[in-house]
Amino acid sequence: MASGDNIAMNVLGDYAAAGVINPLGVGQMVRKAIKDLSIRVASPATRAISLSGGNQQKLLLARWLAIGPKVLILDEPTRGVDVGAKAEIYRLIGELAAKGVAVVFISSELPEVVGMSDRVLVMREGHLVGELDPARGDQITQENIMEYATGVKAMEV
Amino acid sequence: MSLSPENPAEIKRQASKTTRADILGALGILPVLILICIIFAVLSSNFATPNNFINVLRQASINVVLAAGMTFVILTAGIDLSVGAILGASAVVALQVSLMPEWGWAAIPAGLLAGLAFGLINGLLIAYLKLSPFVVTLGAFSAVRGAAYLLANNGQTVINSSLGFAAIGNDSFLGVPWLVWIALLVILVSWFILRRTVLGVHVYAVGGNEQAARLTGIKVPRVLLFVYGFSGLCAGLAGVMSAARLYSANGILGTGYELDAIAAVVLGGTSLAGGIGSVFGTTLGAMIIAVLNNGLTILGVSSFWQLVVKGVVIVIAVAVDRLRTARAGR
Repeated sequence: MASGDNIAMNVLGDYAAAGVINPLGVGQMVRKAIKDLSIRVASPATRAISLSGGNQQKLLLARWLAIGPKVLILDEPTRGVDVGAKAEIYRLIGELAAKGVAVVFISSELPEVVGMSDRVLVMREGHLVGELDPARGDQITQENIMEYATGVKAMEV
Repeated sequence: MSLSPENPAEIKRQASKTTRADILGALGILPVLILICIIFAVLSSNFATPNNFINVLRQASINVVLAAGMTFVILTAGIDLSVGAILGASAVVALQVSLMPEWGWAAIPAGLLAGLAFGLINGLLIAYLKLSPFVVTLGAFSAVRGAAYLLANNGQTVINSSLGFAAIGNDSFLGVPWLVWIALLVILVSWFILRRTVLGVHVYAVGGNEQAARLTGIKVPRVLLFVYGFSGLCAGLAGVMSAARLYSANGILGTGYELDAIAAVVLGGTSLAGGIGSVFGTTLGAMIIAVLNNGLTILGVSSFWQLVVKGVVIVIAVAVDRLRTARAGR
């Protein structure tokens, strides 16, 4: 389906009276989202499936940002995304966190976990095995995360 | 591309882009339609006349109405094999009600309601019992057809020579038959629902990726119930149109019409996999079928050869369209 429809999907009701969409309102919202997230798409009518992986991820991000969330859970938001688009997604997430959105960022790529996180929870085989919280004097490093992840170190309970 | 939300003209231009993409997508099959028309015009002087043009539109009208409803169903990656049977049953219901002394006025609503009811039963089974659309509507294809015969006094032809709504089937307004106006209205309403309502966007979303639609919070069963209900309603309307044209109805009315409706939708570029397509495309598809039927008859081609030609043209037209879109990299 069209990129624009994808972005607006969750908030169509806000731009509709009795189920009838106001296309100008939606169009404006969609173009603002495309600009804000610098999604590279020829027009809102371009089909989402024809976009690159990075732009599809940003499209999805735009869709959920449209509802103005307080908590955002992102599961591997940079999977299948090229380096340039990754940086942009990191920048966006940083901006959201700065605005006070609580972001739960799930990733198996350690460098991005270290780079992005204010606090890290380590899971191993479905269980929470460690927490790295700089406020308590922990250091968020790949080594510290790996110690928990491999079971070398266990969380003090 | 400039992206200045401050410029109203720019906003308007871009807002209409989805619509234009619709029309451009549908254009895919338009050259085929024009080509077929040119061929017939060259082969017979009786084809390209105003009268015959009106004839083609009238012959297309009932299939257009069925195919509009079918477009909704196929956009959700479903199929409705029961529209021909529903057309027959609804026509019989409308005729029977028209013969009731006190209830003659209710004939049209009764026909429409019958169609809607059959469609909703399909929808309930598909949406809530999660049965496959093919199986459910195949069952309805047989069961509703049987009901049509039963409703027609056990296989008789129900005739009403003073049918109250016969004008729909036989009169014109501004030189254009009422059947054509109705078909036009159905096209416009369908376009409006699909492109200008939340429900319409949900229809595309469900067809594009049902799982993703569900995760986005779309109530998928309600969308499915709607599309099958709408298809049934369109079939009911088509039944009323047929009854009005013929002053009569019987159990066999509409046999095979579901295939013409499906052919029109597919010719129009709507993907059987769902999520892609438009009602404008469907309209062109229905026109191609109507022009073929009309032109071949004018040329005096035997009805057996007509079937062969129709089938071959459908497959070639869709193949050409697919090749074209594949090259355009859409």
